[in-house]
Amino acid sequence: LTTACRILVADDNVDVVESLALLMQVHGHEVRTASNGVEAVQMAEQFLPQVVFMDLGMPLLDGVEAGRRIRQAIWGKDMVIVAVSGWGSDQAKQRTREAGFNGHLVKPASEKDLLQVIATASAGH
Amino acid sequence: VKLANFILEKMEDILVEWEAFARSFPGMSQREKAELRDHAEEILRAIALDMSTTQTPAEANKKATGKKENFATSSAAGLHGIHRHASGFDINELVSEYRAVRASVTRLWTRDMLIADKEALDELVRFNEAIDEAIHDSVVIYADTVEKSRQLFLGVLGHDVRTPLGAAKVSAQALIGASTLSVGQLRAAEIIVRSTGRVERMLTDVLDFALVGLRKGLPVNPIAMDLLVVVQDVAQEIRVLYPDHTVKILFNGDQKGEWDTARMHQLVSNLVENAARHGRAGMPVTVSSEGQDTEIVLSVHNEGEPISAELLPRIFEPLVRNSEHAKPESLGLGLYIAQEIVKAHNGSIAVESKKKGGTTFTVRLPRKIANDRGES
Repeated sequence: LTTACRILVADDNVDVVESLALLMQVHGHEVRTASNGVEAVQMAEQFLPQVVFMDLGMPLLDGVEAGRRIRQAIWGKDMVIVAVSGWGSDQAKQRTREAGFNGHLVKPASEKDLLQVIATASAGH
Repeated sequence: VKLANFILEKMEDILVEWEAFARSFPGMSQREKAELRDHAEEILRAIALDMSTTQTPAEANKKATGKKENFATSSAAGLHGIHRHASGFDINELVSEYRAVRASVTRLWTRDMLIADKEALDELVRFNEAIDEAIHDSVVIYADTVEKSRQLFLGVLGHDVRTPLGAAKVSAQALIGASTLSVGQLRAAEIIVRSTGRVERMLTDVLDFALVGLRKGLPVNPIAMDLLVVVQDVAQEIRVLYPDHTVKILFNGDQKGEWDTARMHQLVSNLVENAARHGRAGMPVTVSSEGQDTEIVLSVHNEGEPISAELLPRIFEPLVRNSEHAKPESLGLGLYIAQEIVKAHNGSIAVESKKKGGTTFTVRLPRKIANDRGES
């Protein structure tokens, strides 16, 4: 069984972010949310999550850039950052890979895939 | 001789030229070639009849401005439009076909004329051609614009509808995970998950349908994978979606190859769901996979009423559904998409359906897409 993880979910859609947070909470994880890229980077630094689920099309700072900043910070080197995006083209996946993301899920991401990411991350720590 | 009579007399010559022109378009099946002649002749007969009925100036004006009382679908030309659409002609090709028939009728009609008459008529022919050219250009641009807005519409639909749908599904999954629900509440939450999943798959099919139309073929991204894993995943999903059905998996030999994983999932899922939907309740859906030297032969079988003889030859065409059994959640795109996925992997798909023995879809899938994308 997966041990409890700290998880950050960033998405500018209130319902998306809240439903993902609820799902992860019922699986026993501790969740924080962010609704734009700037908030995501700040929350990542404060909360130091093990896993970050990042939407790409967000206001203020897009998800790719937010992911890159987290990855480049000393505190963000080992975080598992996974894009959860409506954009699933090869170019979109290449952009997140180059920014240092660990994975790229296409919306709607399945419960199975999301929990798999968390399980893998928690096994790695 | 009147032109109307001339058309009837020279029918054979005109048809030969029309046929030669239409055949130059790629992608026509044997059946369509056989049907072509009937249509063309009917259209020309209708035109000849129209020309030999006396016409008042008011009627002539009405026709020239495109106002007509009778419904276009009942005319031979209207039917021709429907058939051309079904054969995958685009609107430009459809218009070109009429340009060609007008050109050949005019050419035959003027061939034996006196020089003096001919000069005046040549002017008229030039005018006709110029108008045809203008129609062609306008139609090309117009159709292109319609196509672009359709693409945009479907893209927005796909993306924007999926987001709230995903939130609804995830919320229901959170409820299920909370494990504090009563039996009835749990069942309600499960129905939400199942139904949102169905809508998600319908959206995927609609988007792929649009994609095939736009790019002439589905894009695939093959990687090394095991087909058996996909079959097992799908079987599990279908058991949840269709609790009345069992899914039996039989396999033999190595199931590995290089294919697009998401597309393989979609292919198997479309076939198994189709079998579950049309199969007799309580009877299993059987997925058999035989790993041969260079290809995998995957078949999906269900017991139950066979597919009707009229429907069977058109079963892989888009938006075709078995009207007796079609349920509201079916768009009639599943098998069409399945065929497009198989085509994109250089494979083949066939169906056999009998009263005794049930319905079997058989997919032959090369282990690797051949590198030479030559003419086939």
